[in-house]
Amino acid sequence: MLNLILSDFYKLFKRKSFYVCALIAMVMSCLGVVLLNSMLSIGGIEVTAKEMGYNGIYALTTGLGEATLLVTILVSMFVPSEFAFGTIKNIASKGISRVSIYLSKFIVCTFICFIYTLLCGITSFTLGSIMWETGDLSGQNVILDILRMFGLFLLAQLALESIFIMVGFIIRQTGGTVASNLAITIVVPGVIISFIDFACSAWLKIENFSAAKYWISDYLNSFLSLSISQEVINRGLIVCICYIVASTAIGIYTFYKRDIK
Amino acid sequence: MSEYVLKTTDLTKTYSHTDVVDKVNIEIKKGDIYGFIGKNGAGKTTTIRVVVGLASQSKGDIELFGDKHLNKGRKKIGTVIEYPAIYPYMTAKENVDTQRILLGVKDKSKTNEILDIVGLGNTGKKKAKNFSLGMKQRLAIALALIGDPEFLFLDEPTNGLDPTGIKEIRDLILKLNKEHNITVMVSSHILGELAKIATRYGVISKGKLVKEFYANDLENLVRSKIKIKVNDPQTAISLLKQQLNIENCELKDDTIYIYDHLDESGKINSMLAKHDIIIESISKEGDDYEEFFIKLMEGEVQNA
Repeated sequence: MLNLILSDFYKLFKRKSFYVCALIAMVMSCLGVVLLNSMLSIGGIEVTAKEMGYNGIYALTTGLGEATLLVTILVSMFVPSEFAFGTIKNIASKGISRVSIYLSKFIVCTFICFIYTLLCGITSFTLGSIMWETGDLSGQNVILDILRMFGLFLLAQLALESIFIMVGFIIRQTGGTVASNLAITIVVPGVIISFIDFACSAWLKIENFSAAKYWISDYLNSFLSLSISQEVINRGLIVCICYIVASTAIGIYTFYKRDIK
Repeated sequence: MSEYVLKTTDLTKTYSHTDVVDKVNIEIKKGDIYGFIGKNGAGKTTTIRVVVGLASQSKGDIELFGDKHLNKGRKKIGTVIEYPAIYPYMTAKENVDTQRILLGVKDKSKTNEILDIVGLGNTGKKKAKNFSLGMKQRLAIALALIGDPEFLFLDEPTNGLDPTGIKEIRDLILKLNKEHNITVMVSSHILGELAKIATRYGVISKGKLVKEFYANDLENLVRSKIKIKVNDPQTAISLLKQQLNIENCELKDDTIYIYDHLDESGKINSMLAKHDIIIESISKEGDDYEEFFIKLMEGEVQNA
């Protein structure tokens, strides 16, 4: 298993797209911070960054979110590429279990999530600190809050990526996987969640039901804050872990059951 | 240790209620170059895919190196199935390194050693996507050779190659077999090519293994001969030897086969008739490899 993971990392580091996507994610983080700065003079009313509460820590909370799109694209290219190149045959024919192959890809994708999120965080924090100020890092729990935010956001991102990995193993084609995964990020929160809410209230007469609570996007946003209620954290943890476990189990099962062409 | 590197018993693979591999019993001995012959869609690739673990069998048993614990045996095999499975964005060295790391081979010099064996030692920084098809095929074989496999599966390794490329792959297979003691199973529908290297053959048609034979037998099966059916074959064969000095002949399944004096069928006919032997049929037979295999694949010479 360790050799398999090392081999997958070797393949990742040899991909140009790994570096290109990382660079784009960092540029997007910078643009996000620059965009925030431009909002300081909206409507002709000049406000200072300090009045708006902008600083490096605030820039960090906005910059982390820029990683998601690029992680989605890279994961959607990396996972099914083994099928597209046919190289999955070189691995599976060596007596390596399908579970190990799947988990190895999952570990590498977790690394992609971690490193991209970290890069976006560092980039936005650094740029925010240069443009405005660092922010008060000396507070009792500031560092812990930042680490908690980073960890929770990473978990939510990983929950989303675990679905993308599953889709990659099911579709087995790079183009189809990228398209499907981008559709999932757009269609699910935009259309399906709204439809479920509508169906619950109009047809099933269930009041106060919000399907968004059970989808990851909600937590990708709400976890990007230093002050999150414990209730949201608990619910988010359960939802994210459920998605990770369920999609990984389905992905492994379908990979195990289907022949490799 | 078993003398067989691969033994399948009634191996069956069913897709949508159709047996694409139907009770196939293959036996490959250590040191063989096993030519696995069949038309497109006959079941060659599916059989190989089941054996190497890319597809599950519906019925039957597989033994690799005398062991039914297949994942253990699969660590000792190398595969090239259908088309070269390589990473196009990597160089030849990086491709081989990927497989070397996967198989836990610590010795980095193995990479160059294997690239030299397949003749890709000097490709430098050229990406695999810029390789010719022959080079890609050789690179795929290099990946299969990492980890010192004892048994190599090559599925249609000469597909799409020009004559030079075909010869290169053929020479490579022979080199691997002779110098590195690797047993090879080569599937192909280019029969003339297989006939130059295989030591044993298996012919598959519509999912069924219709015939298995050694290369030595192939010579007899395809060579020109006079085939005679008579009422008393024992007497007839004695007469042929005594009267016409025919030594290169044999009696098989009540049929006499004569491998020389091929232009003397009239003389043979009249001599036998003179000795009251009733001739039921006398005919001249012989194929080239290509024709013989085609007939086999179409089931025409199943009992040859």
